[in-house]
Amino acid sequence: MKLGSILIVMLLLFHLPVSGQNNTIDMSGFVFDKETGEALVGANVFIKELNYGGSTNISGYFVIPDIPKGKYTLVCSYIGFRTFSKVYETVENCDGCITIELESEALQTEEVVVSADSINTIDKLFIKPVSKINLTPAQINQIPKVVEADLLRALQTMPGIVSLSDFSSALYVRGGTPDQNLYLIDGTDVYNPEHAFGIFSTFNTNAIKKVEISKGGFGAEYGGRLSSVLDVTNLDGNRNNFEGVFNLSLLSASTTLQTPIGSIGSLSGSFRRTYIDQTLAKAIDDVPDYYFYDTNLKAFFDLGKKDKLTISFFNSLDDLDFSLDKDAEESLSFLYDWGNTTASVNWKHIFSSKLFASFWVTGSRFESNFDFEAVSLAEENYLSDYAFKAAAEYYYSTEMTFKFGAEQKVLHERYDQISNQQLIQIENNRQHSTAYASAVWKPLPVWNIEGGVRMNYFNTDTTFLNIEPRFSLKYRLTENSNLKFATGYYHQYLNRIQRLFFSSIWATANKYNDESSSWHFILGYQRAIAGDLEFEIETYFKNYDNIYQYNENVATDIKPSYYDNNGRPVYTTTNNVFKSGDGKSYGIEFLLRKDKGALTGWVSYALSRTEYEFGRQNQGDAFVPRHDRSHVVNGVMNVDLDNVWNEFSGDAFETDDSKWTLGLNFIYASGQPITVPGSAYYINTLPDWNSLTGGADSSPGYGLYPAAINSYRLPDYIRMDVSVTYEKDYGSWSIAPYLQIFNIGNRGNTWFIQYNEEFENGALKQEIEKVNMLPLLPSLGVTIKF
Amino acid sequence: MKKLVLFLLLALFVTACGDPAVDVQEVEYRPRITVEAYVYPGEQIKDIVLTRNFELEQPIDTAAILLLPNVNQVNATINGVPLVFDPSTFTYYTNIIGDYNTSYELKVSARIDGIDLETSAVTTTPSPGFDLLDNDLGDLIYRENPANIKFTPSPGTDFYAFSIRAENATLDNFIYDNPFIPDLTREDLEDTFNDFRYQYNLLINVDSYSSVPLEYEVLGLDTWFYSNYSVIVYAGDKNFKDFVLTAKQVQQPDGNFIEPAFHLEGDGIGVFASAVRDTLTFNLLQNN
Repeated sequence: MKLGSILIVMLLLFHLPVSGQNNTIDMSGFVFDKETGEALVGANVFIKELNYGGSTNISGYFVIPDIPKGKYTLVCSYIGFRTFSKVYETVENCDGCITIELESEALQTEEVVVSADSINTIDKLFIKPVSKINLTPAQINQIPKVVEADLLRALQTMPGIVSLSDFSSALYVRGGTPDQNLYLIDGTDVYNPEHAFGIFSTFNTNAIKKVEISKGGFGAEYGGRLSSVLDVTNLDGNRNNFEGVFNLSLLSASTTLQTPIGSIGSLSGSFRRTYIDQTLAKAIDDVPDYYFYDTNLKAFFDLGKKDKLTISFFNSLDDLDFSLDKDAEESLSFLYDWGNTTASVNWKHIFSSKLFASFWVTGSRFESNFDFEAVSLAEENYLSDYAFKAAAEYYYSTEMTFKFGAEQKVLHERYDQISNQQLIQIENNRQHSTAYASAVWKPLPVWNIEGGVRMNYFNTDTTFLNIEPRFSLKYRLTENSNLKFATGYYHQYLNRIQRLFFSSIWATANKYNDESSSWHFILGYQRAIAGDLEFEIETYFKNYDNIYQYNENVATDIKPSYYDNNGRPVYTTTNNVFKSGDGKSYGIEFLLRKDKGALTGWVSYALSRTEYEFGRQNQGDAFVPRHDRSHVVNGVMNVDLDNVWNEFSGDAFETDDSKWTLGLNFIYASGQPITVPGSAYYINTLPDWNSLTGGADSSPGYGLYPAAINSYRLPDYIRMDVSVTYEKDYGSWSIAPYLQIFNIGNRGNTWFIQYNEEFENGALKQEIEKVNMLPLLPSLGVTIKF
Repeated sequence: MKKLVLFLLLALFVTACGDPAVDVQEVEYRPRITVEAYVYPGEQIKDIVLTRNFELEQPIDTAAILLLPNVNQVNATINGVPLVFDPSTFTYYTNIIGDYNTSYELKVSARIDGIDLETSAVTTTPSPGFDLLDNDLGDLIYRENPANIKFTPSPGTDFYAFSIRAENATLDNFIYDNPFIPDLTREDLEDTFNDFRYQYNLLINVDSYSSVPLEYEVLGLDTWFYSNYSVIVYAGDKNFKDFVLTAKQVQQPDGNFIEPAFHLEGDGIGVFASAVRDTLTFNLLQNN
């Protein structure tokens, strides 16, 4: 009720005349990329004479409210684009009437580096919300990769974001688990965004326009997850010309095409498919028939100055047809496929120059199917949501902006497992209603204070109502430094059963499993160094209440709901599937980043610790989870070899139609915690096996008892990757072959260890089999742009 | 400058080389009382094994593994009745005859490495009712005649373990042309013979109040020899179930160890469980 009252008051407020506004007027409009017509997000727009302004929102829309009527020089700057400057006269009822088109400019050129009008590094840092990281598609593609460019793997090079292994693209953000990350693609939730058993993510980097990840302390407009938000916006499409990109790697072929739709809009489409099922798998018996593909389609319609419409569609599929012996008439075999489908319609409308609103209708579906006929086991795993969302920004005055919105989501979860011995049939419909409101107050140019509240109502077989306060503060400490603070309370109503190689199963909070919650506290310091270097320190603390882990001994605890006609137990709830506990994460992160010039990249260091307490587990003592990393050092470097020395020596850059680029990626991470056996004991698996000399489990007569949970650490993880790209321009098209070497040092980073025990000289000796992650892995590819 | 950068890159490269060894020698050892004891209705409670856990990598003092009354000051009781040590079998027993649907509490205290340890556990025997309908299935043709085991359950007991033993398995009567593991050679088999010879399978959470007999079909993956088979079926209690499901499944696919679900309080590990048991036989033949 309290939140509802606030919302009503705010809505009324927006219709009240603001005192002193009669002689003032608003300037508002859109900023686009002149070449492609794409809206530019986060572009800095200001009035030169008044020396104040704002930045564009997700739609490229900006408002400079309450300025005296007259003629002004509007200056707009954006990284990688020539600074725009033009005199405008204010007009009544403008409502987005100004259109600014920025001309693209190569990042490496000296002009941009020294451009006085470009947005200052410190201003850019000030605008950026606490703990938010932006990556451009170009930056993602420049990081040396495992065969394919991958968004999530690129994010793993940032401080506070770690992976579990080379085989996983999952993100562990500041001690949180992957299920605590909200993945959004064009405003739509994506569940299990994984290809190839998690090695790659489903985000096609060529289709991406913008990526933002918030590692914590995010504002009231986001919610539903405890740790982070990854917000991906796909390309709207080139509104002026047809253009395309074609990629060929050792694993897949992909293409992205963009075209205008007359004068009313644009269309973009991306398609990627692996081809080993059509090549290697046909020649080599041991290579299974496996492929994945993903498709992104997006249409943008300009319905007038006040209305923009986008329709977005995404679909991915992984398909595995495994047979132990492909040539045999009868062989152990199984089928497994999984994939995501999302769709969204987004309408943006300018109600007045001060009130900008977006409305979405979204749908998202994840589905996997497994069929292992030899053991009569089949599984269907399904999760879908349909949502209606509204979000508005009201530019009340130069000092005050209000943001508010609401979302109504219907979730449908279904998990079916059929075997001769049991059935699991879990099917639930859930409703999630949210509303939020926040106010951004800039009392002085050096202050930016944002306070908000988000309300969640989650309806399952019971109901949850949670109010989440959010607060952030930004302060310009000096001309070159900022101080930032953020805090917030977050709730999550979804839990994930993570499985090795198999896609995760999602379950919702219910009468057995309460909602999870977390408080975030983040303090940051930012400094601009030598003009274009960004230096950031962030320290954080977050706690977890009632988080869930899969109960490894679930088979001992679950009870059937009923029995079917064949007497098989049927399970219909997730009771006892999860263990609940509490925890905390804390740490400090350092980031030095350079986005402009012939040498770009970042160096970071993160010191962190995460601790869990799960009831009687580990004798009731706290323990670190598997993804805890004490120390992580990342270094990412992208070098324009033709100009890097010119930049350091202050010489003019060479401009040529060809370019050599070197990419480097280095990572050091403390070893992964693991639980090891602490002792052994004599015992038989079954009572009658006392008389036997061996057992089916290869451990005759004895068992291993674990030491304290995750008390041992595997060796440190260290890896260096290198890539070399040669790009040649041929007028309207270019070709860029590349060579990448993953793990160039061929370091044997330990993935996990297995044990073979043997009685030797009166002792139970453990022969440790070390299973390494990826070795040195060279790959070739080519990118063609036209 | 160039030299500095090259030196730095070279240093990073060298750091990113190598194959570090994994050495898990320094793991803290904590002594435990290991219990292996079962109660069967209608049978004397005996063959109770009390041992201690032992350190890995260190020579096992076999003489010190067994917990002996005099050496380890063992004090063990079931429902307050002291256990008696049988030096001929190195096991403990009582004269208590197990009964159906009865709870038994085991208490053990012992001194290990100079440390006084205690453990206790409770098991409740199943109700009467478990019965195999046919104890001899006769001759069965491999993958043509399934071995269907029919039984009436013990009301309230939803866990059944099937110990499947190829009684006269040899390398000669192994089913080499099975559809599950192609190209298995005689040499491969020599090292893993017992892994194929002794199998077990489980029925979990069955309808123990079913008005019709329950069925279990021995799977192709359970029979690897043309042989006589014995199948010992246990109707086990919660302790039995949790021990069988978790004791040997402590290492997950990613190499991490997890705690088994023992039902021993204090310093104990192992199993104190109860079950009703019965045996069935069949003879598996090749299809000619």
